[in-house]
Amino acid sequence: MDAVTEIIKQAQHAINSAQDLQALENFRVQYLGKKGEITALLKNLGTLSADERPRAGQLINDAKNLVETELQNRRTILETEQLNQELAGETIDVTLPGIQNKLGSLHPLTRSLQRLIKIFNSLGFQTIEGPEVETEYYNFTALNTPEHHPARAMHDTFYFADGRLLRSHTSPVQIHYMENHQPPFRLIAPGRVYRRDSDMTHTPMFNQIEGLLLSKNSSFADLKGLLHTVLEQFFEKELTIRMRPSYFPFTEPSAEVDVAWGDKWLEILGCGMVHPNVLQACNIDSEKYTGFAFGMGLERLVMLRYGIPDLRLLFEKVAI
Amino acid sequence: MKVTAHWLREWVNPKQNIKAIADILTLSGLEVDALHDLPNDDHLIDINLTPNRGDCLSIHGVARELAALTQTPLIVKKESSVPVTIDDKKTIKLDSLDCPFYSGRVILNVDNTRPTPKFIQDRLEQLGVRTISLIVDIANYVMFELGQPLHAFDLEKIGSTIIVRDGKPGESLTLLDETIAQLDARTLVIGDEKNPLALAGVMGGNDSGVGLETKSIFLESAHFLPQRIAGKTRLFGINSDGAYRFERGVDPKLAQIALERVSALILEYAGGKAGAVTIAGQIPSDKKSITLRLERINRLLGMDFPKDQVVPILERLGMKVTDEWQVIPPSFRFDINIEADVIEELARVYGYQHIPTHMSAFPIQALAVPETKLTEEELRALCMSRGYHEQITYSFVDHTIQELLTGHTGLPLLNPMSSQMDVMRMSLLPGLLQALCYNQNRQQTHVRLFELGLCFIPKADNGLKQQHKIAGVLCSQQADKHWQLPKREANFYDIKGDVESLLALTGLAETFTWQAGQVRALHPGQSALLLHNNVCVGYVGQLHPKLAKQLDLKGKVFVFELERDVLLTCKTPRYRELSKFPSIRRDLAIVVDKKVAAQDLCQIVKQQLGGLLQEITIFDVYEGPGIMPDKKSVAMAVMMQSPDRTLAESEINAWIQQVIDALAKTYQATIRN
Repeated sequence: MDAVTEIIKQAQHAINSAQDLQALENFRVQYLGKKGEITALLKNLGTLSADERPRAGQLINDAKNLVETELQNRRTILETEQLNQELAGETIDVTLPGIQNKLGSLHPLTRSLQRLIKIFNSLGFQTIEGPEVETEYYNFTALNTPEHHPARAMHDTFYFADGRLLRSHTSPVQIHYMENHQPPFRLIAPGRVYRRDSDMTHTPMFNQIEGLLLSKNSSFADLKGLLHTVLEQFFEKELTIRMRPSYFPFTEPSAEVDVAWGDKWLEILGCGMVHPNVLQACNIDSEKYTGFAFGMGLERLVMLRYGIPDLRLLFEKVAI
Repeated sequence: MKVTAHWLREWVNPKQNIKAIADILTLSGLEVDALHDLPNDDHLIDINLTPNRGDCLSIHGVARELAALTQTPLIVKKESSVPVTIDDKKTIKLDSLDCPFYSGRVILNVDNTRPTPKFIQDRLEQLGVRTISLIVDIANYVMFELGQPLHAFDLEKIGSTIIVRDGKPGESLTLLDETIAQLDARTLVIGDEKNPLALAGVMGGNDSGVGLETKSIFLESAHFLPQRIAGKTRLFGINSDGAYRFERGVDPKLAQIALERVSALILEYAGGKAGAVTIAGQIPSDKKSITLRLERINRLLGMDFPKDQVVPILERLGMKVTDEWQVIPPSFRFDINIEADVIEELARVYGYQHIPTHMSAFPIQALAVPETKLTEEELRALCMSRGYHEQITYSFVDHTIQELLTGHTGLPLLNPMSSQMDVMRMSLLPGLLQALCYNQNRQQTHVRLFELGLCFIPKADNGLKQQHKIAGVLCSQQADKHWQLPKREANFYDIKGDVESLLALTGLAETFTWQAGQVRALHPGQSALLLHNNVCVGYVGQLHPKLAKQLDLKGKVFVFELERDVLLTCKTPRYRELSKFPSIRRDLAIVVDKKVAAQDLCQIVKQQLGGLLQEITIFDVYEGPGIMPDKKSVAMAVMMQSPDRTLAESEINAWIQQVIDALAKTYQATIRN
């Protein structure tokens, strides 16, 4: 059986020297093909005696299996090499830009407004909208600001020929809502407002977020808590805020909220407990329900958030 | 309101320094806007006074407030009283309830040419008030000191009776600043038997005013109701420190005190002899009492307010409080009328910073999140992902540009900022196209902009539709900007694709249809109307080249504008079983007249195949050699699938033949070989 050992040795050498898949296939045919050398040995088994046949059969079969395994291993190696070679030829510059639809952008006011809406929504405030061309009644009278009230001069209002006006604050939305709903409720109404003014810190159009909460147990302390929480969530840091007495015809008590920013106090918003006259104008029992309202200037918050120096940059001639 | 520290300290002298005083005032509602240094260690305190605090429009008023806040005694001034040495006087007649009290006196033989004493000149100058003449300066000085506006008439230029009355239509009066005021019943007038002499509480007349040559005067000190004076300076377009005070409320008890004070200063510095004070009407009685309840204080402020502090705080502010907490505000506080007003006084003196902070008014509350509603946020995100940059442009635009684009000028503002912002926008395009122009002028050749906002569309019945719209503009020399892709100019289908993806976001794209249509601002051959359930809700197309040129825009500009609200309703998906049976694709290339719309061809296929149609895609449109000049070839891929069986070849062929027949019948379509 030295012949078998010799064939195995030769086959192993041949297989491991094969440099491509075709050469390997040729060796497979040489040893294991129909006329292959190992196949021939198997065919010759019949010529052996019955005593010798089992052992020799075993030996040849083992040799066949061994060569098959060697072939398979070599094939795997050669296939991998061949694939690697092909792939190497397909190498590209992966640092070249992808085919993309370039993203646009959101206006900074929108970015911040969307965040504020989320913060208020998480506190159970729903978002509503209102008209921007308003009547005197909704913008002033229903908000406890009768004709010729000096507070009307605080807002330099845009008017139309028929007496309608551009809302000078978002507070009219409160009235529209209260006319049709009974408390308890909490809502915000973001939107554009208009005053005849233009300088570094004023544009004739700007954005406010109105807030209103009415319930049987809401207080000034809750207003403080709410605004502090919202501002800290917005700026994502701890803030020192202060409230100082102020005056709005539609809230009593009224307050301005200042945030400590560097070495300055910056006025952020006006707020207060809803004036009983406003509730009464909307047929809400001011003994039964109390609540608060606030109006935030979105631009001021955005300027602080992103470090924008001039308010007018937000609306005029922004190159993309 | 400006006060100087030295003058203030003559009235109240708290131990705090000026910086601390400014903080105290700010934190209790008299916001100190600025603190300026003056010579001799003096300071100018500029207070941004809210309109409710007319009581603080004087040194005396601010001092009174500061005394209450710092618990420092007010330095009480001895009230002046001048000797009466002549018999001359005027008759006073009150013909209006809006002047409840009027007092005045004659002073003879004054010398108004003498210089104003230096301390008065200095103090008026520190406050930024122009000095005019001795008597006027004295009256102004006392107004800033005590808060009572007074007026001096030249005695020789007025009649013997002073009448406070309503103005009459047709009357006119030339005021001290030479404004000619046309009077009517709204204005309250001081007149004599013949003529109107002054606008009560606002400004004197030029003819009866005091000049350097004036020898004798009639000095007026009266109380006018705020609501009657309010709005008059605006009505006549004038400035008046007197009206500013009267419309905010002047303490009626001040009139006589101030009259004596001015008289004394005039006698001292201008000489003269004073007559007796003539009085008409009555000083209004105390205000109505207000019931104050501890539980209401606690409920409104959200705290246990220290009960023992309530009465002392209110008394320091000049209020009378009974044992049962009936509160009577002082005559100088016009802003305290209801319980909430009193509670604000308690809160601000106690200090807003000492009110606790909590959030017990917000029990957890789930907000409705309807799946059938899209939000503006989602529309914006889609626009952004398709390369659009958001703009926020002014809601008022130039009427000429608006007319150019829409054919209407829109709703005009009565008092616009400028002629470039004189009408309310009917469309978002004027703002977006201007922004596009700005970007093009900065060498941007690839620009996509969008805006979401209200538009204001006048209606035939003088009504106004306030409608939310979403619009976009696009210009691009290179639509597919990549080194690997061929250079290609943007076209109609780029922007239409953007709109289609907005429609797809709703999941209800099949409820929208397109129709070639004429839009004023658009290219007549490249504009489409978007219909939603057969109502036009927007358009898309190329901006008319003539308009683009007029607006200084370069290249082809494409625009879309849609009603926002149709995009906010969306479909909630329903589970549907995937068919187990194979889907079959058949390509159909047909030749039709150029004018036949692709959408109509697809509609025929949909009608014929019904539920078997899975998808229809147009993959080629061809015009040119091989096709008749007035025809085009349209190639469609039709995907068919049945939910319950494998479609047999013969069945499919029969369906397709049916489609071909219908196309031929309706649009004379032929199969392209």
